[in-house]
Amino acid sequence: MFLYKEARKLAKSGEKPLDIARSLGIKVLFAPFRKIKGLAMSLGNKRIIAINNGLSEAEQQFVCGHELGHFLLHPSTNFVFVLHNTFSYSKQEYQANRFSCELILGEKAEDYKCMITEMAASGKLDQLSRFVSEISSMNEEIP
Amino acid sequence: MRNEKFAKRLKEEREKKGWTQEHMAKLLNIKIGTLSGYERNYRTPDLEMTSKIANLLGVSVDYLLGLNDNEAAPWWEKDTPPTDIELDKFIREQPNLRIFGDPLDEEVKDDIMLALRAAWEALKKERAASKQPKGK
Repeated sequence: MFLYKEARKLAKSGEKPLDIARSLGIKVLFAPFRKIKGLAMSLGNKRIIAINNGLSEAEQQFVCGHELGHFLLHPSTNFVFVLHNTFSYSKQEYQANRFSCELILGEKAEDYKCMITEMAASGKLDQLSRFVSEISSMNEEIP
Repeated sequence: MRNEKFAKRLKEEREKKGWTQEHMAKLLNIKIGTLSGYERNYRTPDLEMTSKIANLLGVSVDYLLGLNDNEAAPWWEKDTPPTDIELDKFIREQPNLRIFGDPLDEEVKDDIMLALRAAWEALKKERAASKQPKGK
């Protein structure tokens, strides 16, 4: 699908989602949320992603990629937020999860297609972020 | 009722978003000719479509219609901090701010308020920085 390709293209820069978001002109903020993991909003022509500052680095990157996915995949929704238990409640959430996986893994995503599809659908933030950060830090030479 | 200002602002705001007429017409579920008519001030949308357009563009209906120019700026573009009432209203107007169609629970709502205030602050800082004369 076109937009997942877009994610891989963005991934080629070697940058992580937080930097990719910033380079696309999106403001990234951190806040001590109690329940929300991350949130994407369009205010006029400004696009902002807010991320829970209590999350691990890997989780923050994943959430950022997820919110970025919403901006690019669902441009008409101007306000979305993520709670742990609503991470996969709709097709849009699934797509955003998958986008984030592709964004973090880049070309490697091809080798893990089935796993990504399954994980994105089950949509647990801790599992997803661990999964992608482990694979992305693995060496190229997989037997 | 024709409205020159509405036509102009609609086009301006659409272009700010980087949308083509075709793209925006699709989002609004109307024909491209209809949208183009709005922008050329050949025709005007009904109330329902007007508020749909304002929502999509993230501006107030007042602003789109060119009423109350002083108050045209939405809360995130003002230098005075948004009030709870303003933010509350904003939240209620967002179609996606529901969990499975249920109203937000208090903790989630507090989080969203926090995010909106942080956003306001960041945007204010950005405006201040862009106003600084260059080279200083």
